Amino acid sequence: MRCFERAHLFAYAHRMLEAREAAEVRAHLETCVACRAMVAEYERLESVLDEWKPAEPSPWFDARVRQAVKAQGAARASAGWMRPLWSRLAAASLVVLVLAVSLVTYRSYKVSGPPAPAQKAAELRNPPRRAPEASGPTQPAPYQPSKAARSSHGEGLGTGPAPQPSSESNPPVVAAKKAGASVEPAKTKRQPETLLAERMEIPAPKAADLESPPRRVLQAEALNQAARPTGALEARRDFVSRGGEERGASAQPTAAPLAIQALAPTPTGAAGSLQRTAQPAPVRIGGVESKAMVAQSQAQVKTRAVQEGVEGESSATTLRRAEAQSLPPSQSPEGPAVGGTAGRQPLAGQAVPPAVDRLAQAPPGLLAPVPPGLLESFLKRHPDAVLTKRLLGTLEGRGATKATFTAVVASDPADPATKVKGLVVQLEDGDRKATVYVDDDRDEAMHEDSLWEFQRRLERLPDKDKALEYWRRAGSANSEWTFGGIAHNRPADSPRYCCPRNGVLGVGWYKHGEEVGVVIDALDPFRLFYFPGLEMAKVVEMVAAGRAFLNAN
Amino acid sequence: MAMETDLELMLRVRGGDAQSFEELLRRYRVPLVSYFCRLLRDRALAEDLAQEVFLRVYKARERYQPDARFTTWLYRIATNLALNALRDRKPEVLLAEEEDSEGERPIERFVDPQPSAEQQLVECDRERLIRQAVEALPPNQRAAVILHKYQEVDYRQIAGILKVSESAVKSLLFRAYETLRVRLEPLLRGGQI
Repeated sequence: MRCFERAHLFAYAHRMLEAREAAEVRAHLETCVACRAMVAEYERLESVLDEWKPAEPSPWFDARVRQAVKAQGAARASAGWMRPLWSRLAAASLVVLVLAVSLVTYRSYKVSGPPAPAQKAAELRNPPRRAPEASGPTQPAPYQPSKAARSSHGEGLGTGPAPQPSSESNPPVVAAKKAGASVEPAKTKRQPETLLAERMEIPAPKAADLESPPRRVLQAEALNQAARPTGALEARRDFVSRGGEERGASAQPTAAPLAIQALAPTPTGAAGSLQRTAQPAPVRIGGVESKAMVAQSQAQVKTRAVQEGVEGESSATTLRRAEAQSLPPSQSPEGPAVGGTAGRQPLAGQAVPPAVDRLAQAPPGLLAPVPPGLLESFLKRHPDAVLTKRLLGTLEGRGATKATFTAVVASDPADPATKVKGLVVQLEDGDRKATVYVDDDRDEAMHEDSLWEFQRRLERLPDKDKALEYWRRAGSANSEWTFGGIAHNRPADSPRYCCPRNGVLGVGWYKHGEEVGVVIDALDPFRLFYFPGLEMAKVVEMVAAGRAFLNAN
Repeated sequence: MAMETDLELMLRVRGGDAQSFEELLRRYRVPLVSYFCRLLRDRALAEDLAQEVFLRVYKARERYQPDARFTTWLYRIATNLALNALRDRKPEVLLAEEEDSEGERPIERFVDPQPSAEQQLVECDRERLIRQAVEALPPNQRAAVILHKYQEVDYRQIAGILKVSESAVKSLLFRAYETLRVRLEPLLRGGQI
């Protein structure tokens, strides 16, 4: 008897043969070593595959399902006839009814002639109702964090357009959607834009780049000099002094200055060990070169306009607010100098890596157009131990042995040197890697897991409305913020505000009564688009609250 | 509750019995989460989709008709969700529903392909090899293998889930296992069973 084909033996091994066929194979196997070996191999493969253990659901899985089911039931109960399907049917029925009435009226009009003047006047005073349009994707009005919006959010995300914004507050268009409703993201109208989105994502530097000598050396004396090459710092000092005098500087903790960590690059391009050294050492940042970005950054940087307040009151207001938040104590020997604090020592020997220039040469759409001096400004703001200690604590807590500053997050493309918000640090410990965001003003280290897990959940939720629901509930614990739903961006504004993506950005939050807010990018946890003056600690709180909510549900 | 069949439970759910839904949840939360985890590797996504399956079962309860086995229906929902997620996850695939506000350019979507730190810690080498081998299969083959091997679904049911013929399922499984046999040969030769 000739041997069976592999497919047949496979089917036999997996019990996919009819009884008669299986009996034939069984009889053959008694005499054929080769076929027997083949079947045994399939059985061994089954055992090997068994080693891949199943995943257990998380402890809160059942609760989440119950919550979703409950929400589904509540949505059905509260929506009543306004449920999308019913509303469409109802609207369609109404249209048919009105058409029928209109037809009857028209026919009667044709028969009986035009109405009497008195009747016509009455009709003008009380015009007949027009049939409502069938529900569907609507053009949302720009969003304003008003009481109405807050109350509507408290009751549940409602359908329909959001309230109109005020003239002073022009957040990005937000479309709030009812939880559970499968409504397509609405198109946005063009609105004045106050969303400033900056994130500079810089790939790890290549070995060749790191070996090239820096074009400029960041001198300690230069950091404290009043006159800087960039006019932005000059203007910033003016704004700062004005803001500081008007508002009063809040006390900032000071500490004995320590050197910024040394990040000696390794030949492979990875960062060296993080060290606390007595001598300042060069800080390297990776970057991407793009000549096109140079031109773009030069064209787009509007530092002069911001300096002179040409951009408008809102920009100046927010700039003042931003400066006030990070303003050094009034007793600083430098006065309201740029980023200086009492007791801060100049940084000597700080080398500006070539990557600083690369920031300005990054490909369009990925990095903010950063003028030279960004790193200088950042270092000037944090030459002390506050950031250092927190970063070290974060690193020590994670047992990391390497750290690389990979990105600087700024908030104002027009003047990013004065709006640096924090650093993104890549940590390495053997084969383990992690990314930490270290806040500029508050030295809050937002661990990657928090953001990444949030982002994954937000991104992976099959129903975007569920994402909104999650964040609506998460934000309800934070009374200072209004959940703004999905934030959109418009293509025309993207180059200006360095939003690398058009359309849906993420989940937006707005601080009550102020034109500040944050949009946590739905696709990238470290892409935080936020307004000037935002307290990053609030962002941390929101993310933590959202995560806690997700974990608990 | 006595050991009722899935069909009996689902018919009770159709009648509004919450306890029966809870029992279905208890029976299938591990298989579903495990199924999605194996198909997609993304733990968070797996749970989200598993939750979605239960939610869809609940939503459709009033329309439920026992014209197929409950598991066939359940895994059909699950597989559709998973295959959609796999398709949407490809970097080169743009999310059509997330076009920009002007409808000009779809939004690019990038997924971190690296396993999480937790996965790296928990997964041993052999398991990783097996996982990678299965993940390398085309989506339909992957789904068929996982359903057949790990969810213990009969190949006739798989045909109903994937909406293909029984012979097509056999062909899918055979090709998948042949690929796995080659890829996992080191484990087959020297590995402990």
